[in-house]
Amino acid sequence: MTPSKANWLKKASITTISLWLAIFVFIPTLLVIATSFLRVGENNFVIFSFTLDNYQKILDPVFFHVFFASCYLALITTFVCLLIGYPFAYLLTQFSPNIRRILLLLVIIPFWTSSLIRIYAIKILLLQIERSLRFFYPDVSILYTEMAVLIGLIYTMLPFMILPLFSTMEKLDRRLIEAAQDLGATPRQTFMRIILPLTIPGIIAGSMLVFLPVLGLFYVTDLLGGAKNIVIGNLIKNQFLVARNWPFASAASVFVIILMAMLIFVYIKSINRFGGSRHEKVQ
Amino acid sequence: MTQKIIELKNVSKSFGNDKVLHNINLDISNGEFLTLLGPSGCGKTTILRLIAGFENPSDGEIFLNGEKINAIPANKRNVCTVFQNYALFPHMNVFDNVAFGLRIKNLNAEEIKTKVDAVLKMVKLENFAQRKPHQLSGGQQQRVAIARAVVNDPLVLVLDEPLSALDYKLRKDMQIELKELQRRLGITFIFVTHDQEEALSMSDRIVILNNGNIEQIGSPQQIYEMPQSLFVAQFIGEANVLTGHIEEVQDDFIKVQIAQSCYQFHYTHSKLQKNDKVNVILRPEDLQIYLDNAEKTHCLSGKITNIVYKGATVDLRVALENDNVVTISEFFDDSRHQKFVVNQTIQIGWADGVEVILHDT
Amino acid sequence: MKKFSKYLYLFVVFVFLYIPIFTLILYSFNKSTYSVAWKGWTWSWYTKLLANDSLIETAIHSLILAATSSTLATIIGTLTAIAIFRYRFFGKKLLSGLIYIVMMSPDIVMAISLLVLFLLIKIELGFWTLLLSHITFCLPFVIITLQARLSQLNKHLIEAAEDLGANEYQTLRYVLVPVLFPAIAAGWLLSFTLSMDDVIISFFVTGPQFEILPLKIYSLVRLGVKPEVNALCTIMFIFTFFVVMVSQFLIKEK
Repeated sequence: MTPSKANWLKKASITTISLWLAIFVFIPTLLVIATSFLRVGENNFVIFSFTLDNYQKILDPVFFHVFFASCYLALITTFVCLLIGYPFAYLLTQFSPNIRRILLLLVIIPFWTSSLIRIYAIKILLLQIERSLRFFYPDVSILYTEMAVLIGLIYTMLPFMILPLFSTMEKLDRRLIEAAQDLGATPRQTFMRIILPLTIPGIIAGSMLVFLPVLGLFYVTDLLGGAKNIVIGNLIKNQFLVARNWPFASAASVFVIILMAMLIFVYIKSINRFGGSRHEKVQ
Repeated sequence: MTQKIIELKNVSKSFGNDKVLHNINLDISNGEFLTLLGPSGCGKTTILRLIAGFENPSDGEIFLNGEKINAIPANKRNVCTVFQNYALFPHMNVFDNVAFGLRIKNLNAEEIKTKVDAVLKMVKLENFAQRKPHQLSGGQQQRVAIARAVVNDPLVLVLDEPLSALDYKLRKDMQIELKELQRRLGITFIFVTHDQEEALSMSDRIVILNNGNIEQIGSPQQIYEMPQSLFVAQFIGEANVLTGHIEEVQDDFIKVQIAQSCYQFHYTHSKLQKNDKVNVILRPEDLQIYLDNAEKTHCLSGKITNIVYKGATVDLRVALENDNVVTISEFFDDSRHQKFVVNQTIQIGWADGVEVILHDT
Repeated sequence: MKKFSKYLYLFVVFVFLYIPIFTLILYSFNKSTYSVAWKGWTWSWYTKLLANDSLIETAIHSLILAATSSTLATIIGTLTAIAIFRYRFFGKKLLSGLIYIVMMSPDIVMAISLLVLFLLIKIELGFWTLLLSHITFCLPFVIITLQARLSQLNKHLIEAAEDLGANEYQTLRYVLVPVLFPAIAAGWLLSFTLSMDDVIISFFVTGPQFEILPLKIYSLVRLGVKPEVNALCTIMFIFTFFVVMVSQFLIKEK
């Protein structure tokens, strides 16, 4: 903290990270945005002429279906994860710190486990269930249905919903709930007026961590969905690597970036509006 | 006049648009125990950090031993700090904590051992050298923090509310210990606190700060008995403030109108003039209470609103006729105080000369 | 009764989280090659994996990549977290915000961006492009792990070191790095798992010469359920399990 005296360590650290983010995050993003406005050339290369075709193509029924279905799938996944995860995270906060730590660890382990492996694992389980059910109902099919994809996604993404919810709920001042009850609020009123508003930043953070990755999880289709349930990730992958249509793949990527920007905007708004409780903690 | 160890000349400090110190001028003599006292946000910690070198002044000059040190960083100043929460290095044991500064100076191992052992002995921690900070009590951690600073033979030791984390009893003991240590070492201590009692009992001189300005500098007695501003009077100890205006100014006395009565004070204050508004400051312990209208020159009448028993003393709150409320503190005397009840009309008197009259600005 | 239903709910969700993984582990010991029916215990799939030289080579590639990228990400990330913690500088808020955005951004977006960059500056896809990409996605995780630890740190610790005469480097070397060591180690371990597990980004930026384990697993699982793959996935899961346990132990509050 010797102000005014610039030192090499400070300079080196800040320069390194700034350059790194500039070269490997900022410039590449600009490149993708730029590419999304270009045309495809004959040799599968881009032509430097401005066009909005790639964005118009998103509205093309064939592709629009992918975008729509993908967002729909992500939305349902997010919603179900929230429905399961919210009470779950809340119940976790009720335990004593030691037990809580162990239970939390049980959520953190799948959080860090490769989602590919977890999707593969649920595929094995679904296979088992399908086989057992066929014993009674020969026509039943679970794997390669939309339901299988949805179960797989919920299974993979659930920890990503629980953890941010838990961390906002953990910060929630217990005395606020007691104060509400003390002032005569019913459990329902306490939830609607105190707990829910104060945990909105966690809900949005969790939704962001579930919704956005689902759009990109191209291997879900490979493992659970057959060819029917493809997400934007599959589209980008195919357009980029197979069809070699960089501009269109870039436009699809920009679409995801815009969704992300909107969610981040909502998140920041929610923190400003509902995140105040953290500062009021008395020591 | 003793030698000046630290001089602050017209020092100002701003953080962004927020000016926290305004033209501070302060001379600190070698070997004195100086306390910076004031409410939170008054700038006392900022002065400390300027002296220690954690901040640079926005304006003005700082001298250490006659040398300008404005641009010298903390690690090159011979000033050591005892931090508020001690800031002991958690990964090092007591010995390594204390030896840190000496090792940075590349002293040889033997010399380090001798010095560290000596200073640990001085703070009575010679048997705790191998402990980690978290294995020590608050008072012991406090001593390690002091040892870690003084082992470097600093010219000045600055202490940032070092006792605030300790409980009341321990704080009292540490106050005495710190004072003794300072006398033994003979180095200058600059002590920051918001606790006026601590300041009065430990310091050679006290600097009272408010809103980034120095309100008064003086010995504890001067500060308590001769406050130069209403702020100082009210910040240090309890003060009854009676508002009035000057009726008459003579060579050796003035007359002040308070409520409906007029009082004559032996007071010569060149600045006071007829009709000036003044505040008359009276300490609660300087006031006495009377049942009857004794022939006192300084006498106010009022009604008791509250009697608070405090063990050795008793506080009586009295509402005067002009609605001013005055607190009187007397040694508790059962036979005397059982005569007083709430709502009783009584007289308040005080000895000539205990009052302080301040111009109301 | 109400309490019981709460426990039941927690239990059911945990079962949902763990049953598939336990099934995977169980079937990695199944004797049957083709059917999903249980035919008895065997270690043979594991021994088969160990005998598969190309797989071992792929695993070594991945370990080298993960070790290099997590080490570099940890160095840069640690210095960044410390710089954000202790210095005032222009654009600090922007930098912290950007780090969060990088962490939040879906892999597919980062994958495309990096691929476009690499193709444009004409770096050959392979080890180097993988390394640069892995460092990029590991960085925010290291920084945030470190920031969590730094936020609990007594801010005066750095000043105390300076006050005792330490310069910038000495403060870093003798105070900050030792105090932060558990968090630095945890950040490294988490980066290591991220790198070992990443499929989406690696899929785009990899080249034919440098095959890595997660992509190998991807190509295997696409072909269907096979006992060797179960064994491989089990090993990967157990690896992650231990890394997470150790890292959580390291960063747990005192």
